[in-house]
Amino acid sequence: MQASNTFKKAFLKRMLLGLQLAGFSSKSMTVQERKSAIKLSADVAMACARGSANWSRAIIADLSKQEKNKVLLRSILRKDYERLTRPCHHTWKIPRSKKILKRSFRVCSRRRKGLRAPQGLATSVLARVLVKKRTRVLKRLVPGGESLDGSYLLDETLDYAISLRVQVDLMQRLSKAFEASKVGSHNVCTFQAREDSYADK
Amino acid sequence: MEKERFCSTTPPLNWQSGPGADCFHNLNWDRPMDPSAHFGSALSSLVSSPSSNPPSTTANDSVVIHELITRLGSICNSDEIPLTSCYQGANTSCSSTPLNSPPKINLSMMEHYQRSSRGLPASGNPAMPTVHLAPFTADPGFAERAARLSCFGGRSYGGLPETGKLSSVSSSQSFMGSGSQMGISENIKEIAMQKGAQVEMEMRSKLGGRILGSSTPDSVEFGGGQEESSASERITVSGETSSRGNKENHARKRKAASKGKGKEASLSSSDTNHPKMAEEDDSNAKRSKPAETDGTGKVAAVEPKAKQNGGASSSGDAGQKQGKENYAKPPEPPKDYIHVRARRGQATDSHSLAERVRREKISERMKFLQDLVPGCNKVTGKAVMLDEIINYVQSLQRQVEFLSMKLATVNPRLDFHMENLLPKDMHQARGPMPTPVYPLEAMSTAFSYPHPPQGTPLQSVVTDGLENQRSLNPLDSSMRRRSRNMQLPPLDGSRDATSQLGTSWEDDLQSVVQMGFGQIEENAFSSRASMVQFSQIT
Repeated sequence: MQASNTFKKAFLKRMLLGLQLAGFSSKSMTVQERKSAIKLSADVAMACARGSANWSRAIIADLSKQEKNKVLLRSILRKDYERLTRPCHHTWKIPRSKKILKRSFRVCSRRRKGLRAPQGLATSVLARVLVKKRTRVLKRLVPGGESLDGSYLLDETLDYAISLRVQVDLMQRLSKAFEASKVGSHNVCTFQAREDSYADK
Repeated sequence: MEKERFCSTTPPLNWQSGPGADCFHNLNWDRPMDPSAHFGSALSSLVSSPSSNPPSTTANDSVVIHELITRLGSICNSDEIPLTSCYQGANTSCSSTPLNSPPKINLSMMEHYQRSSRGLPASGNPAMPTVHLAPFTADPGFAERAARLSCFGGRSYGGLPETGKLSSVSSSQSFMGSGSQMGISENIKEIAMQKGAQVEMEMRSKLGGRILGSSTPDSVEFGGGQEESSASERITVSGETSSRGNKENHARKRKAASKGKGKEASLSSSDTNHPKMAEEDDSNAKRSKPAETDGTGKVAAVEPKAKQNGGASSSGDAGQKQGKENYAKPPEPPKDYIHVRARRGQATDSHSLAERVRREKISERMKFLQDLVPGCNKVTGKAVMLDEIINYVQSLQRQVEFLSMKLATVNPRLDFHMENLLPKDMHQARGPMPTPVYPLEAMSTAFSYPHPPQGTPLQSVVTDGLENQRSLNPLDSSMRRRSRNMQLPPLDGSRDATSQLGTSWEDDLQSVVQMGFGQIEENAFSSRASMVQFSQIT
C-alpha cells in the first residue's frame, strides 16, 4: 500500500505553503498555537492533496467551521477551496439508505433470531458485540466516518491510514531538516573536523 | 337425458334457481337463457356432492367432475360465454363478480386444469386424463382462446414464449385429432404447466390488485373439491397474509413458476416484470415488507436477481435451494444490478445473498488492511483485525501531534523561510536513533555550505526522503551524500535567486521532481520507535 508520488508532491507543496502563511500571520505565538497552526496546515495539505474523498472533505469541513481558520484555509487552498467544500452527493444518499437498511436489518434480525438461536450463542454474540464496539471506535477516529458503514468505512480507513502515513513521514523529514539546519548553522567548523576524522577511519 | 337437454338449449345459460345457481346471477351473459330450473337443480346436486366429499381423492369426485366437464363442454362452444364461469358457478358456492374478459377466464380454466392435473395425480386416477380431453375436443374455440391466452401471457414475457406456446397449442390441437389420449393429456399438461406457470403469476398479480381494490371477497373460483376451493381462497387472500393451510400448494405453485421462469427467463434488467412478480410472490410469504423496502437502496442491487431464486424457495422449502444459478457477478455492471451466483448448498433467498455479497466485500477490505498494518499477517478474525487497525490509526494520529509539536519547538519564530533551511542532506538513516544522526548531518552541511541556499534543503528533504536508502553504515552514507551534494549545485545554478519565495519553492520542487522520486520505504516500527525517542527527548 503505497501512496502515489503525485500525492506526496502535492502534499509537500501545500504543506510548505501553509506553513509559510501560518508563520506570517503572527510572529509571537505560544508553542500550543504554533503547534495547532502547523497541524492545521498539515491536515489541510493532506486533505487537499488527496482531493475528493469522504475523509478529506470532512477534515476541511470541520476546520472551516471555525471562523479563524477560514481565511487561512482559503489562502492555502485557493481554487480548490470551493471544490472541496461543496457538499458531496453521496453524503445525502447515505442517510436514506441507512434508514431502509435499518428497517431491513430489524426484520432480518427477527428472522435470524428464530433460525439461529440454537447455534453457539455465546461466542458468536460476543464476537459480534466486539466488532460493533470497535467499528464505533473506528468511526470516531476516521474523520467523516460517522455516516459510513461496513465496507465503505473500511475503504475510508484504508485511504486515511495511507495518507496519515505519508503525512507522518513528511513531517518527520521536515522536522529533521529544520533541526539539522538549526544545528548546522551554529557549528560548522567543529563538524568539519569530525568529518575528517570519520573519513580517515 | 340431461345431456341432451343441454345440447339442445342455446348456449347462454341463466341459472336462476337452486342454491348452487345463485352465484350465476351476477354473471354477465351475452344472451339470456331460458329459465331452466331443472338444470339448476341438477347442478346444485352436483355442487353438493363435491362439497360433501373429502378432497380430491375419491373416484366419486372425479366422476362428478368428469360429468360436469362434459356437460359444460358441450354447452360452451365458440361463444362469448366463458367455459369456466359456468364451471365455477356449478362447483363452489361463492359469489363472483363478472369476469368480463374471456382471457381471464381462460386463465382460470388453464390454472384449474393445471392444478387438477398436478393435484390429482396422487390419486392415480386414470380417468383424469380423459377428463381433460373432453372439453378440449368439444371446444373448437379453445385454440382461439389459447391464442389469446398466450398473447396475454406473452405480453409480459416477450414474444418468444408466446410463439412457443402457440406452436405447442397448435401441436396439441393436431394431436387432438388422433386417438392417443395419453399423449394429448400430456401435451395438455405441459401446456397447462407452461402457461399456468406464467399465467398464474400474471393472474395473481392482476387479481391481487383487483382483489385488494374490491371489497367483496370474490375471487376466481376454481371449482371442484376442497383443493380448488382452498386454492381460490389463496387467491382471495393473496393481497393479505397468505393462508397458512396452503403452504404446500403454495410451494408447488412456486416450483412450477420458478421452473417455468428458470427455463426461459434471462436475467436481464430490462425484464422488470419479473422482479415485480417475484416480489408479489414473495409478498405472499413472510417477508413482504423488507422485500419491498429492500427494493431501494444499495441492497436492491442484489434483490432483483436474487428474487428470482427467492421466489423459488419458500422458507421451508429446502429442496429448492440447490442448483439455482444466477449469472456470475461482473465487477461493475453497466446496468444497475449486481449479479450474484448462488453457491451450491447455500440459501438463495434475497437476504442471504445480499448478506453474502456484503460479507465478501468486507473481507476483501480486511485483506487490504492486513497488508497496510504491519504485523497483521497472522491475525485472523474481524474483531482482532479491527483492533489492530484502530491502534494503528491512533498511533499515526498521535505521531502527527508529536511532530507538529516538535516543529513548533524547533522553530520558535515559525518562519519557515528558505534561509533557515541550510543546505544539507541528512535524512539518510531513518533508524531508531535520531540523535546520532545529527552530528553526521551537521558534518555534511559543511560541505554543502558553499552552495546557494535556495532550494537545496528542500531538495534534500525530498530526495533523501524519497529515495530508498537505508544503509546503516554512516560512513558510506556520508560519502554518498557528499557525492550527491556535488551533483546538486549544477541544477541550482539555473535557479533565479531573486524570485519570490513562493514561486521559488515551486520551481525547486519541480526540479526535484525531475530528479525523480524514488519509493519511500515505509516502516511504521521505526517511526514508532522514533516517536518514542521524541517523547523521551521532549
